[in-house]
Amino acid sequence: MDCVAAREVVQRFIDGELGDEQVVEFQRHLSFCPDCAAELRGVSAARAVLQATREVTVEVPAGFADRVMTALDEQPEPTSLERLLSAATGGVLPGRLPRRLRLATYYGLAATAVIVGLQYALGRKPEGEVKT
Amino acid sequence: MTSSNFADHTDLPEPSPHDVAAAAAGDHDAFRRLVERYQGMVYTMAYNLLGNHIDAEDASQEAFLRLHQKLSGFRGYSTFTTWFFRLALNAIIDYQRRDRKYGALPDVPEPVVDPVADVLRRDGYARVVRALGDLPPDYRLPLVLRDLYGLRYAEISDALDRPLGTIKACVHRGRTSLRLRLKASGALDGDD
Repeated sequence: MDCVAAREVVQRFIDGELGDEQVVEFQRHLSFCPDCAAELRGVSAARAVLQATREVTVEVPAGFADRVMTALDEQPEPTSLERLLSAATGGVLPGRLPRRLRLATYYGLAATAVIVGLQYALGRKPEGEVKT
Repeated sequence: MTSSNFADHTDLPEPSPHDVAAAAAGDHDAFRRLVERYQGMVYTMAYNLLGNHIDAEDASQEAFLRLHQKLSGFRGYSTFTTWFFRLALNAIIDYQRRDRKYGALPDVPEPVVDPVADVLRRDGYARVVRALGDLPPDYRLPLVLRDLYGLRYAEISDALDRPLGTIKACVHRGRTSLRLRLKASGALDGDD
């Protein structure tokens, strides 16, 4: 493995995406190439610094909870269909869907309701009406 | 696709099932208790992803409004914290994508919570915040999602609606750029 190839795989090495043979090749290259070894150390160190900020919680601006509750009071009540969709999808899905797909979901639900309604209506017809 | 345990870093105790149920039923006091319990987690996530206080507050507020809207959909298949973490993350990403909040100047907050944090540590965090804020947004968002919150590349690709290869390239370039910026600021020593 030369330096060009080593620079290409250093990130995949950090992500643990290299196969066993590639790892051995990469490590062999690092053993005699201080530049690539420094590259790996540097990127790994930067990543470690970023990960260390997990322990930090940023101070929330004063009155934030009050503003959330005020905004909540100003929200329109969700429609029955929105409540139904939220409950049906475990609460997460609708907000993540593109608008077109959300519309398709609404139309799908509406179509399902129509079909179920028709089946219910047909099922309740007296037998005499459908028999010849 | 299996989900990464990206809420593992949160040490928050779970809210009482009674509070969750009451908030879902429309009890404002119970919902406020959820806001107060999770505001630090959500605000920090929004700040780390968006890089400034104005957007962090707006996006955090949207996350809690979405929580209120979706709370009745919580089934308890995961912990509440994990469920809400993903919901809040989606809300923040949607906020960023919708408004294309790129290029805002980063400001440096005062970190709290850890009582043993000393001046050097705060300075270290400030340097990281500045270095992250200097990154192009196309790099920062995937990088923070990957290396700070531990999402898989496929999850980031899905969340940001961008090709997997693009996401990987952005994370890789973001790491290299972050390294150079941290080194220039003195946060990394020697040949690191």
